[in-house]
Formats: sequence, C-alpha cells, structure tokens
Amino acid sequence: MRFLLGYGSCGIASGANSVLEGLSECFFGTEFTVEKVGCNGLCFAEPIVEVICDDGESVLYGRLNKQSAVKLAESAKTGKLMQENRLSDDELRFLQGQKRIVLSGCGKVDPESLDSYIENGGYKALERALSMGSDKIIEEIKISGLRGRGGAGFPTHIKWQAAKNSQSDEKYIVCNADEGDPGAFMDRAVLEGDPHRVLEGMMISGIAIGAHMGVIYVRAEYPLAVKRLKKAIGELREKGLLGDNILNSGFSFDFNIMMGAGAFVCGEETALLASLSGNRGMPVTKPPFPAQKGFRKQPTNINNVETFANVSWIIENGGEAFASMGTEGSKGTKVFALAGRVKRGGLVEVPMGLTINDIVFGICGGIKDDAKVKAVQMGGPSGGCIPENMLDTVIDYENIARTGAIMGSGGMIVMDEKTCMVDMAKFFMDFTSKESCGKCVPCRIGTTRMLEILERIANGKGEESDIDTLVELGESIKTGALCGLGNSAPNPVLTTIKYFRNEYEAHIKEKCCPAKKCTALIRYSIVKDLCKGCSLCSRKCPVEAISGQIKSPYEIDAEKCVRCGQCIATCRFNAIKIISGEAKE
Amino acid sequence: MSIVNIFINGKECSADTSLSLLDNILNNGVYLPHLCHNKELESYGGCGLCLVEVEGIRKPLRACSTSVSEGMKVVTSTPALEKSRKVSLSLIMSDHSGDCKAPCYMACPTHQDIQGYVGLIANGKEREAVELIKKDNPLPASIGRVCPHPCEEKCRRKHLEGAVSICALKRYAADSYMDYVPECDAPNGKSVAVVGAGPAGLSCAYFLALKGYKVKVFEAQAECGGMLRYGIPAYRLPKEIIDEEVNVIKKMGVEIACSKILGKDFTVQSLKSDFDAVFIATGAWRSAKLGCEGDSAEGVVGGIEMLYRVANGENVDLGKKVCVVGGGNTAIDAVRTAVRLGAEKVTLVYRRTEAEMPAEPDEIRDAKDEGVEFRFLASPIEVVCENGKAKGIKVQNMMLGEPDASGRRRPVAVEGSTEIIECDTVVSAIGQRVKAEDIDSLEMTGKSTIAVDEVTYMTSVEGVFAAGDVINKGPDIAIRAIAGGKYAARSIDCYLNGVQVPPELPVYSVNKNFDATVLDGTPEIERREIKLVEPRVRKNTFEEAAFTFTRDEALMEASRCLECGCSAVYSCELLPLMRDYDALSLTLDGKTRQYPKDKSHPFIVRDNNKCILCGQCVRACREISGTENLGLFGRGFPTVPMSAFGLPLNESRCISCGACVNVCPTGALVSKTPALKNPPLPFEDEDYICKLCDRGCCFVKRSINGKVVKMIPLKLSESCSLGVFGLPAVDNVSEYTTQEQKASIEKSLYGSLDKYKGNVHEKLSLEEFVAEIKKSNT
Amino acid sequence: MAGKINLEIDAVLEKYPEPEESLIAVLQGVQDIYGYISKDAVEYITEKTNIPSSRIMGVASFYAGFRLKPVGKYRIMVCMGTACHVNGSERIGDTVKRQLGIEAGDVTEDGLFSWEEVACLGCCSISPAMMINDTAYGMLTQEKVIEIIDSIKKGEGK
Repeated sequence: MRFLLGYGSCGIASGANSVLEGLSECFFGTEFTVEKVGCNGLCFAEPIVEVICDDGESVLYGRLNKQSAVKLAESAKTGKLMQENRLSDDELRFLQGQKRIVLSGCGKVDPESLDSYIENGGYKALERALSMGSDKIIEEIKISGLRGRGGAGFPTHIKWQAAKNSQSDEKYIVCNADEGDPGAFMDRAVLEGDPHRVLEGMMISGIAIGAHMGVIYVRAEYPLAVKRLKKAIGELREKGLLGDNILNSGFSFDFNIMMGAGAFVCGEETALLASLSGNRGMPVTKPPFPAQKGFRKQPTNINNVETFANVSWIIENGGEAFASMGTEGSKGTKVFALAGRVKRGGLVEVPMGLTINDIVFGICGGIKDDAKVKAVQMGGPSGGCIPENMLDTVIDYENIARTGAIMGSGGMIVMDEKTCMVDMAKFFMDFTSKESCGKCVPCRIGTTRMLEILERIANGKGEESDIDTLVELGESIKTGALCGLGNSAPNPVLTTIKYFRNEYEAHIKEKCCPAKKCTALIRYSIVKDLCKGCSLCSRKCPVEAISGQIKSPYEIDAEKCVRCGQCIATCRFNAIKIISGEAKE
Repeated sequence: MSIVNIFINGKECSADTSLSLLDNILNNGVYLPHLCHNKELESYGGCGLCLVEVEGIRKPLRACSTSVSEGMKVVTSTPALEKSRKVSLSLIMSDHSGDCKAPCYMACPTHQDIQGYVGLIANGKEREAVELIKKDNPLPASIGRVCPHPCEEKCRRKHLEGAVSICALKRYAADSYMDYVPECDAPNGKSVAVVGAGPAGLSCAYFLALKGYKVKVFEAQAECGGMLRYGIPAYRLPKEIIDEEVNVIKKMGVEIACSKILGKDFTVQSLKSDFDAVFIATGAWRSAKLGCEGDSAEGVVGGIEMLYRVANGENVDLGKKVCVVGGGNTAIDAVRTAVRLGAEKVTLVYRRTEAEMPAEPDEIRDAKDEGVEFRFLASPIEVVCENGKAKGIKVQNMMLGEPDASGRRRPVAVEGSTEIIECDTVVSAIGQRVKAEDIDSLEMTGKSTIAVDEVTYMTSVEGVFAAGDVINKGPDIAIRAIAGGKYAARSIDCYLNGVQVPPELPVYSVNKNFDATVLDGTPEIERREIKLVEPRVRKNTFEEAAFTFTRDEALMEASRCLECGCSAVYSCELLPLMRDYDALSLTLDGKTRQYPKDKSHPFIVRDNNKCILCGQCVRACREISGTENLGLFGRGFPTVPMSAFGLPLNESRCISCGACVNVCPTGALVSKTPALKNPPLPFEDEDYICKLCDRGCCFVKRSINGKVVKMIPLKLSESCSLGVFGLPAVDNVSEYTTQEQKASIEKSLYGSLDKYKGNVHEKLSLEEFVAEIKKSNT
Repeated sequence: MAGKINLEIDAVLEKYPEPEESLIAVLQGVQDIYGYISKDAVEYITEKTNIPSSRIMGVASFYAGFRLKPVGKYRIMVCMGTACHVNGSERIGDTVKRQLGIEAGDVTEDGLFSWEEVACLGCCSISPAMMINDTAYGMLTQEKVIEIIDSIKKGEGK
C-alpha cells in the first residue's frame, strides 16, 4: 500500500504537515511510508492523501487533519481502510472528464526524485528526441498544433523554427515561470509537483533550436517550486544527465534558475529578457523578436511552463495523438485553475473544445452554496468576464477571444450574484495600473485614469459620461500601448461594460450596488423582527457601531460602521441585511 | 546602410535602412508627431504618438521602433490613429503639472509678459523691460499708478511673504524710459478712426499704429486720457504722465483731434465712409443715481461728475461736511478728493463692511490715513433736504446675512434702526452708466451699452468695432479697457486682412494642482511696497502721493519673482501638439505627481512636475554622457527620473554635459544662465562653431537681447559642459553672481572635461575664463 | 558594523561572476540577509561592481519584491489575487491593519510585524490567503486572522 500525500504549497498551507506528522508517527516501525507528491489538483479537498492499494485501486482521502490522519494510518495497519474522509463519488466526478497530460505526474510522482519521474516514464521522450534531431522535433510539434499556453496562443513550432533559423553558436531556452496572473496557479502546481516534465520539455526544445542553456525565470513567491527545481537540476547533474555531451549523445545542455522579483509585466517576453539581464522589466517593441535577439542578445526561445510540459508527451505519443484532441484551431488539452465562488476549486486539465459550463458545472460541481452563477472571468487582468448566458462557449483560443476575454494562462474565476462587476473591473484595473511598467503613456496614465473613474463610480460619484470615457480610453489604450500588458489591460473593463452595463448604470444613476459589495454604496441594517438581542454582533463589532439592550433589537450606527461584515458572520439569526440604493429597504 | 523604396501615404519615397521608419518619414518631409524619439538615442516607444499603419500588419506600429524594408506601405494618418494620438496627448496633459505662462500673465486682461519684464528689471535691464512692456501695454506709466493689479492676486509669492509688487515695478520701468517710442511697421495704406482717447481708444490706436495703420482719434474732451484724466485724481495719476504717454503715441503717427463730439461733429456713418474701419470707445461717463428720495436735490452730485469737474480745473465747493456713498475705487477717489478740496469732515457710507469693499485695501488705508471716516453697514434711504438743498443723509443700519451670488454676505436691514448723517454735499459713487444716446445706430444691450461680439469686438455694423466701458457689461478697470483696445486692434487688423481672429489667450497648460509646499525653502525676502508722501502733507495737495521705486528697491523687489512661467514655453514640443490635437478638451483630471524643483545645479533646472517620462534624459545620460547618473525610479504611474537616492543634481555624479537639457521635449529639464533671472523671451538662433577646444563642434547659438542663453549641439554626442554652458556663462555672469555661485559654475564648466578631451587650455577660474573668451571674441 | 555588512555583501557578490546580469539575484541575496535594500548596501555594491547606483536603485524600486525599508520580524503578506478578492481579501487586509494598527508597508513599533498587500500567492484554491514569512495560511476569516496574529504575539511574550 502506498500513501501519496499532496505536498504542494497549497496542501502545506491547508495542513499537509500535520497530516504528515500523524501518518509518520503511526507508520513508524511499519513497512508503510508516506510519499510526498505534488498537488493533484483537487485543491478543494486539501489536505489530501491518495492511498494506492496493492491491487492498484486508488482511494482518495480529503480534508484530513492530524487526528483523521492518525485514524487513516491505524486503519491501514489493520488492512481495512477507513470510510471517513473519503471523497464522495460526486466529488470524484472532478477527475472524470479530465485528460491529463501536463498534470499527469502531479500527485503521482515524487517531485524530489528523479527516479520517481523516470519510473513513471520520464526522459524517454528526451531519448527519443535525441535520435529524432531538430527538424523532426519541430515537425512533430507542428503536427501537434501546440500553441503557447502562456496567454496569446502563438503556434509553438513557428517560434522554435525561427529560433532554429537564427544563426548563432549561442542560443538559449527560457522558461517563463513568472506566473503572475492572479487566479492562475497551474504553473506552480506543475513546477512543484512534476519539475522534471518541464525540464525535459526545455531540453527537447534545446535540441530543436540548437541551444545549450536553459534559463528558468520563476517567481520568487514560489519558494517551493524553486527548491524542487533546484533539487531536480542537481539530481540531473549528479546522474550525468546535464552538462557537456550528455550520455555521449553529442548534446550538451545545462540549466540556470533566476528568480523574478515581483513584476507581472515580466510575463511579457521582452520585459522578461530585460529582467534576465539584470534590468528593470520594461518591454521593448518587437521586432527584433527574441528568436532573433533575446537573452544575452542571442537567439532565444521563450515558452511558458505549461507549453514545455506538453512537449515530452507529444514527442512520446506523436503530434497526431495530440492533434486528435481539441478543436480545429486549438489542439490538445488545457489546464484551468478554477477558483472563486466555485464549489470545487482546483486544477482541471481537459481537451480543448469543452464548454465553460462543462468545466464549472460538470467537473467542478457548480457554485458554492448553490448560488446562481453570474459570470466566469477568464484571462485575469488581460481577460474578461464572460456572462452566464455565454457559458456554453466552446473553449478554444478563437472562441474565447470573441467574447472579449482571452484564454490567457487558464485562470477561471467563477462569480456569483454577490460579485459586483464594477468592483471586479476596479480590482483588475488597480492590478494593471500598479503593474504597469511606466514606459508608455497609454498604459501608465491611461490605466491610472481608468482606475480613478472606476473608483469614482464605485464611490457613488460617477457621472453618466464616465462609461463612454472608459470605453474611449479603453479602446485607445488597446491600440496605443506598447506591450501585451497594456494592450489587454482594458479588457476587464470593456467586457464588464459590454455585458453588465446595467450594473454600471445602477452605480452611477441610482447610487446602488446591486451585488451589495461597494462599501460606499451599502449600509448594514438589523432586521428588528429577526434580531433576538443576543448582543453577539455588538461584541464582535471592531468599531463599536452596534448598540442596544439585551433581548431587544440592536441597531447599527451607519456613521461608525466600516462594513467589515463581522456582524453578519456572527449573527446566528440572519438578522443583519445589507442595503444598497434608496428604495430597496 | 542601404537604400530601399517605401510608400508613405501612397507616395513613393526612398528610405535608409539604417534609420528608423520615423526618421525616414521625417526625412521625407512628412510630419509625424513624436515626443520620446531622438535619432541619436536608442528607440524607446514610450509616447505612443508616432503610431502608423503598415500594410499587412494588423496593429498600428510605433514608427520610431520600426525598421524599413523594401516596398513597405505606410499610412501616417487615419481617423483611428489621430484619435489614439489625441487620447495619448490628453493623458500626457493630465499628468503634466506645469504653467506654460505664469499665473500673473494669465490673470492680466492684456496678458503682458510680467515674468519677462520683472526678470529683466531684476537683471538690471530696464530699457529691455520697457520695450517688452510696450509690446502689450501702451500706457505703462499710467497703469503702473492706478491698476488694481489682478496679476498680484494670482502671484504665487502670495503663498510666502506676499505677492511681488508687479504694478509698482511696471511703473518703475516705465518711468525710467518715458521717451521710448516703439518702432512701427511701414504704413500699410489703410486707415482707422478711433472715437474716444481714453485707455481703450488710445490702446487701439497704439496697436493699429504699430501695425502700420493710419489712425485718427476723435476726442470729445479738450484733452486726452478719458477716465484716466477725468476720473482719476491727479494725486494718483498726474496729468503730465498721461500727456507724456499720449505724446509717444502721437510720435508713432497717430493723429488726435480733441473737442470733437460724436453725433455733433461727425457720425458713425461719416467715419465709416471716410475710414476703412471705425473703433468706438466712448466710455461710461454718468454716475448712477442713489435711487432714494431726494437724490436729485441740490447738493447731491455724482462721483464721476465731481471728479471730472475737479480734473477739468473747475472750482468745486463741496462745503465742510461731505458724505460719499459707495465702496468702490471711485468712492475712495471722491473722499480723498473731498479731503484735498478742504472739506473738514468726510464720511464714506457703505452698506456692507470693509471686508466686502471692492476698493483696493491700499486705497482704503490711504483714505483712512488722510482722516476719512468710514460708516459701514449703512444704506442711504433718503437725502434729507432743507429748502430743496441736501443737509444730510438718512441711512438704514444694516447687518450681514447669508452670502449672495457674488459670495459676499448680503446686507440686510436692522428693522427700525436708522440714523441721519449731516452733510453739505452727498456724492453718489455707486457705479457708472454709459451715456450712449448718440450712438443709436448700433445695437445696444439691456444696460444701454454697445453690444459687441465677445471675440471680434465688432458691433452690429460691419467694420465698426467697440471696446472699453461702453460695451457689453459696461464699466470695468482701466487695464481691461486697454486689453479691449488691444484685442479690438488685432481684430480690426484681421478684419481688414480677411483672416480669422485668433483667441485672445491661446491654450496653455495650467498647473491646477499647485501645491504651495513645493515653495518650502525659498529664501525669505519681504515685499517692498511703494513709498507714500506723509498723510498730513499729501492731504492738502493734488501733487502725486506715491513715489516710484528707487533702482535698489526695484531690483530687490523684482528678484522676488518665482519665475512660475515655463522657461521652455517657446521651445516646448508638447505645447503645439497639445493645441493641434485639442488635447485639453478631453478632461481626465486625476492625481498628478508633485515634486519640488531642483535648482541646485548652476546651469540646469529640473522640474519633474512637467516630466512626461519620455525617457530621453535617462537615455542621454546613459548613452551620451556615459555616467548613467539619471535613472528611472519606481514603476508605473509614480515612475520618476532622478539621480540615485534623489540627490540634487549638483551633489550627484552629473558631469554637466548638458545632453539631458537638450533632449527634454518639455520644460522638465531646462538650462539656465548665471543671470539672476532667466525670463523666457523670444530668442534668436544662429549657427556657431565652438572654439573652446579644437574639435570644432557645431552648435545653434540661442540669444535673447544679444546675450547667449543656450547652446544646442547639432550632434547630441558632442554635448559637453564647456560647449553647452561656456558662452551662456560668459555672457551672463554679473556683479550679482556670488562667490558660491562662481565656484559651482567653475566646477560644472569643466565637468565633462575628462570625457571630451579636446585641446582645452587648463582649467581656468571663472574670471580668467570670461576674460579669455572675451579676448578671443574681439 | 559597516565592515560586517561589506563582508556579507562580498559573500553574495562572490556567487555571481557577472554582477550586471545577475543584479536582481545579487539584490535578492542582499535582501535575504538584511530584510531590505539599504542605501549603504547599494553604495557598496556600486563600489565593488561599478554598476551605477542609479541603475541599482532603478531595479530595486521597479520590482515589488524589493523593499527599501526594513520589515518586521513577522512579515505578513495579504494576497490580493483575484480569487482572494472575490472571497473577501479586502476584509482580511482591513483586519490585519486593525490588529497591528499600522498602514500597509509600515512596521510596528516593537519591530515585530510589518504587513503588505501582495500579488497573487498562487494559493487561489484556499483563498482568501496570506503568508507570514514563508508560511501560507488559507481559508481565512477575520477571526482566524486575529487568532493567528494573537498566537504569534503570545509566542513573543507580548
């Protein structure tokens, strides 16, 4: 019997260490050991232990803590696994309908063990690639139809071909692991859970374009990913799988890790290159493209983590196999990170061509508290909000782009009626304005001005002309900004105006926030008939805004109230309501 | 480098592949807006203005960062591109906190270059100051005595010890060169008749004469000056001053015919047939009636009428006790005149309090000093008469209520509280009315003033123009009449040449979010007021009551100017673009960056409030000077270029090569000279080969009034401290230059010597350097 | 003290033979030691590497990960990612602010805590989340935040 503990940073944050303690203490002196694996994507049920029985049957336990872990261990020792904490059949539907390529090793292999990766079929593709040679590799990638998974969806083989065609003895492979899109965490999961898959993809790309050095630009906020990558690279070196003339193949390759220092714009290729050279991460205009003049002014191929993670599978299974999945223009699978108001958040890898509904409702079980879905945000700060009535959109690059959103890196934030669209637009604009590098006027000042207008609207000080100004500014920024960050920064605003204009109008004309979110437009009120006068809310209120006599209804002083929501969270009688707008008492 | 053919807006042009698309477009004579590009620096792509459409490429490209290829088809202007440029410029303007022109300039109705002449006075250049003043104001000596100076209201020095005494400085300059006669254009063969020789009429005549018009002025009174002569008492404005200024106008060829009355000696129609255009500025000569019982009794006179009779030399007897009703400047003129006429008790009656009085505080103070009594919160309700002659005035006592439309608190009656003030004469000084029955052929307003177009000053009759107190809203201060005359003259010129009248004030950037804390640390210098004759002496005479500044006083006072107007106003690249694209029409007000100016360097002033983050200075500092002293700090909106740790330039590693000031497209980095003030004035440029070493670099030498103020290297790479700042230093070092400044100048002059090793003689002291250059120039 | 600082920075610089290209890594190394990038450290790096201070400061001020001011012993990073926002991270931030009595970016007087709002921590599935030094905390509620901070204070004997 094997015990695989989800030990990604999300698992650890959810308490995987106590589970580990519980299991290890009980297993001490037994034949059982705990294997630490990456996140298997069932984030909603963390901490998770997958028990693989000797007959190969897999049982998933979720939401464990130390006590339940001890119980699980004890039950394992008796040979009869406990029933408690098993994921229900309904919850297990999460895994059905997924097709795992990128995530195939996550939760299966030990990310800190090269052997574990090799046991699971790792580095076979590299071996194969060495025998295929450059042209065949690129041809296979071309057949596969693989497109860049970082956001824009540029065909991977074209980039590789361009970098190969550039004449130089010195070329580089750069892995963009600066996953900055708030709401996307698949790259983290892959780097933490299956780092060798990414390294293998990079090495194959190196063979294809003739590069001998791979640089991984990874966020400093992902310390576990950095640690596991370093370990993985170290093990490869130890085993002679890196360096000059690897295994006498004539191919030389090595890796370098560089930690990003916190700038979303470095997801943009040219900014990333600037950062790699020790400069401010400010993008420059293209051409020249990195394939011509990239890292150290040499031809460079930059792909993101998920793109590289697809490569070994394609080489091993053939481009045709990959291309057999997906739609006309978008082949293979895509990993989505589901979060927000969704019932089962986590990582989902599905073939292209499913609908958003298939994922949100089919795989992820719908909305928390069975509320009504309002929209799904795709593409983060560069993307847009897709409204409920368009959730049957088939997922591929072109279809998503038609909605005004973008595929992006695959973050899907699910929103219910409690999500205010003006607030969301403001949130993203706040993000992009802070992340703007400051180089070009449309982005630097434009996003700031758009944010100021949105703040005004959210504060109930909007004017009717503001919506038009936002659209005008948004369109101009899209045309005039220097890089992808700026070009796409207005998308969250433009899509919410397109699909939820009525919410903007409610904020502006009626000074009402329909989702009851914008604090300047809401007030809290105690429903007299429901309040039992228990005084609990009054004691919890951090600003002493609630007063009254025990056993008679309490009252909230709207002047003092900071709308923190503690009272609502405390009230056992559901007696506190949020009011927005005048008439809706 | 190789040459290819490209198509710019459909026209085949040859292009150099070693240059950017932008430079190729510009080299082919097609204008393409840009603010962050310099062909000697790495391309940047920040401003986003040089967007073009290239056939076959979906998104617009930045021409500055695009290379050319054979057959490339480029379009530089489409509605979408222009729209995008406009939005970009609007965005730039929304974070460009600067004043193109100083607030005093903006406030003055004639928009005189106040910063210019105050700066020239500070530098001891009175003659140049007068020449500059006379470009915009024909009567500076007169106005310098009587103007309520709206300019000083807006003076930023108000945030410190008090406004600069702008008005007194103008008087000082004008008095210094009363005989200066501006040069007029050659006669253009056209003639204009001007009716009225008051400030508006004289102004119009003056500006038309400058333009080469033959002008004839018709004046109803026996002497010129209008209200300046007949409405303002001689102790404030001696008649000789008016005469001298009018004489200058006569010397410019203007003919003045006095005692000629409209409607009697000539009509608008007769003038129209005799002249190419007619200008009417007959003023407002009638006092408003008190509007209470007894206001027509004997012993009740209008303020204007009384002042007129005194000015006209008539014997005016007001009796021993005089009561003047009103709170404006005319009321003050009336009480002070009454004092001088020998009245024993003079009372000014005003229905509000001192704080609400429209009269100038200085004038109120002077009247008090001369013994005038002020009776506030009293409103006349009856002139008490005996035998049909006034013997007192009954007033209703008032108190202040809620603010009215003007923002002043409205006086309301205290029920049942009245009082009688005894007097022999009641003077009504509560406003002036136009006496306009003689010009009925023109369309009038409801206030019986002449209705004129706000922009062109043309009346309802084509070719007939009017300005001053006689038009639209009626009476106003003298400087507004002068402005009316000035802009009407311009409009007449446009009319006679068949061109459109430009706006009085072109669009300028105004620092709306001015934060007075940026003035912190300004050395304190008290405001100098003009000196007055002692009250006990002056109250008995109509001799002038105030003294003109002495030279020392004037130079010290002028040195207080904060030089708010941008010194790059004549060379700014943003300003014309902002106007072309009407960039201020899209208001995107929001937060702005606010920084104090860095004036530490002897030749460079940095004002990051005006920085548009084009990045040229930073690139020049890295690529040209090689010091990389300036860098970009922060990210996004708050990004700012500065030296490491925000060090002032003179404490930083700056080598004073001057490359940054020569690339800055706005006034964020400007050069200055060692002169005390560096007023931005129209300049002259000439080509110049630098002789300070044997490299022979080519420069554009920029001079103002014959003094070199800036050296612009033709090749940015040839920027060096000696070449860029040497001549401006030599020409502008003066006796006011302190030892400390001299040391700092010496250090900076040789700052980039290590970098530019021409055959430069050894380091010299500033004095030796100046002597050396002057010797080699002669 | 200055001498010690220099030795420690020397050790960082030794790891990077090409300090220009590795400037970010150098600064990360320096920040790991001192918790922030001080003016003295920048000037010392300039002295040793000839990289102009303006460039070093330009880089240090560009990236959110660099701090130009000292931080508390416990550095609380409240995630401002999308998922956290949708699940109420603003309130988490407000609670931290109230509990510590300092604005984001500041340090408590006892030097124990500092807090800041940070970009997505990638813990979206357990949002709202925050990190204290290297430990992530998820599924936060206002009460939970108060408990966490109180327990640290208790551990520090406050």
